[in-house]
Amino acid sequence: MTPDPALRSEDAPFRLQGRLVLGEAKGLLDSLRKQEETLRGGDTFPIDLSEVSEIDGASAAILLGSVRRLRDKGVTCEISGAGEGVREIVSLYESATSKKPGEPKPQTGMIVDVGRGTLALVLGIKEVLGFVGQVVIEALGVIRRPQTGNWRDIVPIAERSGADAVPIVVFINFLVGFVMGFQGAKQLKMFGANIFVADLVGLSVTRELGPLMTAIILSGRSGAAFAAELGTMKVSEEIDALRTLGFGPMRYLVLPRTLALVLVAPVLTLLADFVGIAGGLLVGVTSLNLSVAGYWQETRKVIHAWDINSGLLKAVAFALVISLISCQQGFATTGGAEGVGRRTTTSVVSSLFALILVDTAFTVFFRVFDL
Amino acid sequence: MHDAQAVRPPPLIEMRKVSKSFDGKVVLHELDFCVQRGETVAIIGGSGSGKSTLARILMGLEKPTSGELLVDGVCLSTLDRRELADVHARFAMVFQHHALLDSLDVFDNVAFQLRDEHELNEPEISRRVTEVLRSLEIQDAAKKLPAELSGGMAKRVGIARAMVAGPEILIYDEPTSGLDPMTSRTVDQLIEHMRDTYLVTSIVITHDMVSAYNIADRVVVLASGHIVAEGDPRTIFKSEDPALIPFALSSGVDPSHLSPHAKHVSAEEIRARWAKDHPHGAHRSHGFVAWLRRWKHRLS
Ligand SMILES: Nc1ncnc2c1ncn2[C@@H]1O[C@H](COP(=O)(O)OP(=O)(O)OP(=O)(O)O)[C@@H](O)[C@H]1O
Ligand SMILES: [Mg+2]
Repeated sequence: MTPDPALRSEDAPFRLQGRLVLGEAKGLLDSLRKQEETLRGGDTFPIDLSEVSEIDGASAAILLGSVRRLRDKGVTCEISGAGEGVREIVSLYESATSKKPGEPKPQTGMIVDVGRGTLALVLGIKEVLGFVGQVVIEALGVIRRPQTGNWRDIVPIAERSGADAVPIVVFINFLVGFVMGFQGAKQLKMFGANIFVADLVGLSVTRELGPLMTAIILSGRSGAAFAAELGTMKVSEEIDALRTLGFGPMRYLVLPRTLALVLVAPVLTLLADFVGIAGGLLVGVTSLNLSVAGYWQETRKVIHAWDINSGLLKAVAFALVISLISCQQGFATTGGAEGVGRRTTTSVVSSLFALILVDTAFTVFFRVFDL
Repeated sequence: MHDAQAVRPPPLIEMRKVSKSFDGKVVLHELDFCVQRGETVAIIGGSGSGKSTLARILMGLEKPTSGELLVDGVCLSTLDRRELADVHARFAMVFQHHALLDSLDVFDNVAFQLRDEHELNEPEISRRVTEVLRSLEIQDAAKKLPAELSGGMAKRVGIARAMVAGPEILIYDEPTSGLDPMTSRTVDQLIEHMRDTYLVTSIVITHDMVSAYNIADRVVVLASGHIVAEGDPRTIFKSEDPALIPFALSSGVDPSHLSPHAKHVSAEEIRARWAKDHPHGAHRSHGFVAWLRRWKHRLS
């Protein structure tokens, strides 16, 4: 039962009595609201619970909510006289609802946003680097003790990332070679330099486009798969389960994926080089009046071993980048199926971004050192 | 038995003022909490009260923000990585969402941990896995993938996987959640069966008061990261304490209708039997396999 607020004289405690349970909550809320309206900063408002025989969570929350609002207004508000059981309930809710005074309000504004964005970027990079460090430590551990590695999973993963990707790698790279030949053909024809289409296609495919297109395909297929797999394992506690069984997730999950991708990427890149050249060849033969043998001979003449090897080197670096970013994103997943989706997207976007960066770095490096 | 109590050994697990917060949000507040060997302790509490977090701290999956965790009287923060791995090898956990490895079938999931200890050959692994599967009555599902299992079966496989390497301490995170009452009672019986057969000390996290009442020697009630009550299940269930009544009510069971549960084996007896089986105390593995396992334990 709640008292009629009119009965309260100045400074006399606000006395609550009886059972404060859910059925009474509305009355309690109303009478407290009325009190809140009349009180101003500097007033005192003692609340006496000595005649309350029982209180439940709803009423305790209402009471404490009111107390907090009053205190925010500057009213001195004390709860007193509560019996054992009542006090326990009230204090249970008190710890949950009380907010630290003077907690800074979140700031907003452009500068703050920029600062926050920069900080997030730096932290993100730091996270990835920390992850890479752990992977390196684990890898060294496995090199020292090969029997502690998870070798069993490498072949199936390599099969999924490599063998299953062959059709799409062939198709895309053939078209890339073909399109490039086509674009070049028109220009070259004007100068009667038809045969140089072999140089154009051969060099750009082996040095640049073969590795890059393959890596893009890998990040879309395998990178996304890694992030989604590990993310699902993370949210379904499988990774925790692995740890309780005594398996480091790095060693068990990340290393085999990384190694598998590093193994298949150069092979796929070689294939990409080959079909890319074949695409150019098709253009040469059909629209530039070149013979197959002539085109092939020109290609062999202009492409050196280093052109192919530098492409393979890039492919290895790309594979590392894709695998590490995707696995890191997978491990960072939180929050159910939605989290998995978000992390998978992030992993592909970041991989593509990183691929282009790394590719540029390689190209500049090779050019500066004239490789 | 009385002699054993006279020189009281340190509790198997002890938490001293353990707190945990995530990004400044305090989830566990200075918990003090002990588990004696052979006991079955139920931890009950509402959703988000920090039960799983407590389990994860016990399992070493999460580091407490402050406070100490002791196992057999040894403070874990004084141990190096290898010794820590040795300690955690004595624990096993049945996860809330079973957490089976999706790509492996039931048999391989259970055999997983054994496979990697190179001391065991395949026939021996097969024998042990089959034994555990049979004792949980899931031998027919051995070739199924986790996706093809019902919830109750997946729980059993989770228990089998946790059991197979013979842990001393088994932590169950909500073993009966999402199961129908019949299956829940079966899981309760499984937990007792595991305790009576393998003499494990069990910590059972649950929302299910009936289950707690059935299996526990002691109940710990957690509310928003505080231990608000602790005691034997009958006292807790019948308590007039306003903080506990909601739990008793939510079970939907009238406490006066519950008969005292006939325990097959008491905690003291489990403890005595365990002591007889392990005259030199908790076994500390040495040698190649233990070494290998420690390496495996270099967690991320
Ligand atoms: N990794 C984490 N990061 C941030 N907050 C967390 C994390 N894990 C748990 N929490 C928070 O800690 C609180 C307790 O979570 P916990 O999982 O321990 O609850 P629970 O008692 O097991 O609940 P349930 O019965 O629903 O399983 C929750 O409020 C949750 O949001
Ligand atoms: Mg939980």
